[in-house]
Amino acid sequence: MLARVKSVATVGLESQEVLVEVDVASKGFPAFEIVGLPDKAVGESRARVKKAIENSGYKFPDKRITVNLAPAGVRKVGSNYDLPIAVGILLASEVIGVEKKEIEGYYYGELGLSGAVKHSRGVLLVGMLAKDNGIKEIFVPVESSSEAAVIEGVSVYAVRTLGQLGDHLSVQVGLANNKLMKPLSTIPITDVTREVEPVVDMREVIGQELAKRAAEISAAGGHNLILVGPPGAGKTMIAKAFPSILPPLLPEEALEVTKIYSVSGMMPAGQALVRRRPFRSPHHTTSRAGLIGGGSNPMPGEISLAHLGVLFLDELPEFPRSTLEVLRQPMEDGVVQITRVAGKAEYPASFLLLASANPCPCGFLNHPYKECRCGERAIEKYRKRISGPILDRIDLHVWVDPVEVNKLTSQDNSKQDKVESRESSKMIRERVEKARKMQEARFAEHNGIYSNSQMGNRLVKKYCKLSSDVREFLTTANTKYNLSARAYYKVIKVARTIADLAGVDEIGLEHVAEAVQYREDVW
Amino acid sequence: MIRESLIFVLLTSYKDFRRERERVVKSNEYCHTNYVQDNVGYIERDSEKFLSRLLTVDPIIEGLWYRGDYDAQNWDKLIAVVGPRKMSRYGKQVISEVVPQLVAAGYGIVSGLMYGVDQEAHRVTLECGGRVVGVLGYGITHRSEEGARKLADEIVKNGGVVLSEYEGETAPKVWTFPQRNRIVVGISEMVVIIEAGEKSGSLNTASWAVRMKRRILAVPGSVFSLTSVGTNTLVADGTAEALTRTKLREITGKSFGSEGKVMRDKAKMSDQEHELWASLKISGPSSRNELVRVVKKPMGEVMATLSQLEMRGLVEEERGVWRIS
Repeated sequence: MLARVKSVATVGLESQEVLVEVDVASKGFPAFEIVGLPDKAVGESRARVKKAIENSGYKFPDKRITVNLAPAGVRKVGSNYDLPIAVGILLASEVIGVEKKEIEGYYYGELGLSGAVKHSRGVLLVGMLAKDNGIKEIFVPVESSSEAAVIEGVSVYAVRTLGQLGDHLSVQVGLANNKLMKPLSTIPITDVTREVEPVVDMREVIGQELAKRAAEISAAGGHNLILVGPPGAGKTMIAKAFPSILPPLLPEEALEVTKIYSVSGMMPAGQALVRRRPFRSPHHTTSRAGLIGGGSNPMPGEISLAHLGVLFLDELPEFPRSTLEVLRQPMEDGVVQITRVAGKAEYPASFLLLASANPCPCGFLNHPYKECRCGERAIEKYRKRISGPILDRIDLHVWVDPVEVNKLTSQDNSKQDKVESRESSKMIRERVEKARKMQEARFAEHNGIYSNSQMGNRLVKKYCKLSSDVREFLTTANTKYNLSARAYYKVIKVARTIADLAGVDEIGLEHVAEAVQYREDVW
Repeated sequence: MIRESLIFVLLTSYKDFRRERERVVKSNEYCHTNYVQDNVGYIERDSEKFLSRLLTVDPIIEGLWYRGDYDAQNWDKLIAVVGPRKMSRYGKQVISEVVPQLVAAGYGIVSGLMYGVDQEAHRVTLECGGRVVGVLGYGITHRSEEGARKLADEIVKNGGVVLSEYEGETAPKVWTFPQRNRIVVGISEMVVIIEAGEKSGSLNTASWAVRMKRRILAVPGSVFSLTSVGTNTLVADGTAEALTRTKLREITGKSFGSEGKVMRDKAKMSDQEHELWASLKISGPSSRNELVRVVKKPMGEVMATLSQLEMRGLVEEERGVWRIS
């Protein structure tokens, strides 16, 4: 007998329907064969499926079983075909007596030997594809089911065991009673993305007014930021607090981020959506593939996992130059294309780069109390490790002073710097959101441009009208600091964001005057 | 076995020979064009143009190669300003205070063209239009690091002279720099040591100065600073005089730190600018974070004000630290 069950194959963020055809022949030696470009994990599915069926209390047919995964030309990767294959075998061998041998709905998930259905990656994409293709029901592992539950118009069945699913399918011919499964109720996305407690609040950062101000500008205009300072100055802490001053994820953004995390199998069991803006902090030994994505079945790299969030590169000069160079194109385009054996994948990678660096190899250059022991040459060499093109893409360069120890320990802090008197992330975020609104309105007619940092020179000329005294100031600055053309435009873009933060339409002298302080040659 | 090693030796020496020849050919081309263009010349010890005060220098100087206009140069009233390659913020500040005053008093500044204090001293001298004499620790046309090369060109262009006792492309060796110091000291009336670590090359300059009986002035520094250990020791053991306000006034016949220019500009400061400027004057070099805490204003405002002051040259910044200039 022949049975047909539907499932889903995913390459990158693209998913496609796969028809699992199972034939249990009445003649021939007992055998179990899977065709249709299966990979190793799919091949091993035979052992899991056989034991899962037996341990769920069914009889595994002693017949010749042939499974075809169609379209046969697409590479099938992963263990998610366990469930559809098992269901197909049960149908074809008439163990569960469904009259129809073709059933609607997508079946997706890995089986354990006991018959339990396990947490699987990419469940959100199954739900989305079902909606696109007009499929009414999907059967997915219980632990991953909430991911798909955010999709409206699709009944999501959370499957705990193969036996439970078998009973559900048998009900229709009266073999079992009252064992019908109920679909999950839809989880409204807006519920999920409401405010979340930040990991680190800006309020917890002592001092560092300059770095906080720079972070605010960076968040408001999407400008990349580098913090330079000695070890232990609080660079990492500021970086960790950074996502909390970004506006919360919009529902569609949350869905986009969840897609990436679902595909890479990084969604925690039971969680429906990624609620926080991602904060990724890859170590400097991370390979190029680890950073931009890769693998024979291309998986998202750190830059995609940081999509719509923050990519924090701690100790930037320690990253090999070749690793950093691969960031250039994604930073420009906001997407990354990876081509490997299993196919081509395009992952979004629109992130804000936050970097930190020591000013010299020992880290104590310019430290008020500690003596730096590096030679001038060593310092120069250390800085040259970061390539020019990467520095070019960083608009804000900021010194971070070491925190005076007495400030950390003293109980009777001056009134000025009590925890309560410092600004919380929420207060900063409100200003950031206001500035973002202004930018939204400004770039309404420009597709794909959301923030000041994305402006090209043409747009700078269009949207950053400068009064004569501002232009005069810039001319003086130009001669004094010897600004390159690119640095000049960077200053204007940053000034635009500062003006947006102040809620003003025209860039004033004070905005430009502040902006020149974030230039590249300050360190 | 023997034959193989012989072939190996022959091959490598042939390669060395080729490489050496290429280098010589290249350097000759370089030398040729530059000898003409840069006015490279040689003064023998026996020549009457050879500075008489260098005749007593021991070990003897056979002759001097020079770039620039040797004959037009005024060789009187020269002061050597020396210090280590690694210059601290303090050293830089001292140079920017002291050198202009020495220049204003008619002194020419001699130094060694090495990066750090030497180059800074040359640069500041050039900026205030003073006489510059640079003494190289390597061949007169040797292609040294870019900074020194550009500075040497700059010196020659501005009427200064670059000297070396080494011919053409002679590469620097560890011992050529101390040897160079005896010329630096030899042509100078006195030696100002800006900074010196515990084992600094500047101490070598000081010992030449002792041998040649030149007046030595050392800039005292913080007891915590590693770059002032040498200078403080020189002052402590009586080898050098401490360079103080009084001493500088005695040498230049002027007062330390002419504030006339600042006073003039101060009139034009807005209240905001003046507040910031004044707090910088009181609390000394500060970071932006420290300033914000003192004046109790938002960071953005403070930064904007700082920029405006910097544009007018009233304050200056280096690596995040601000001070009044």
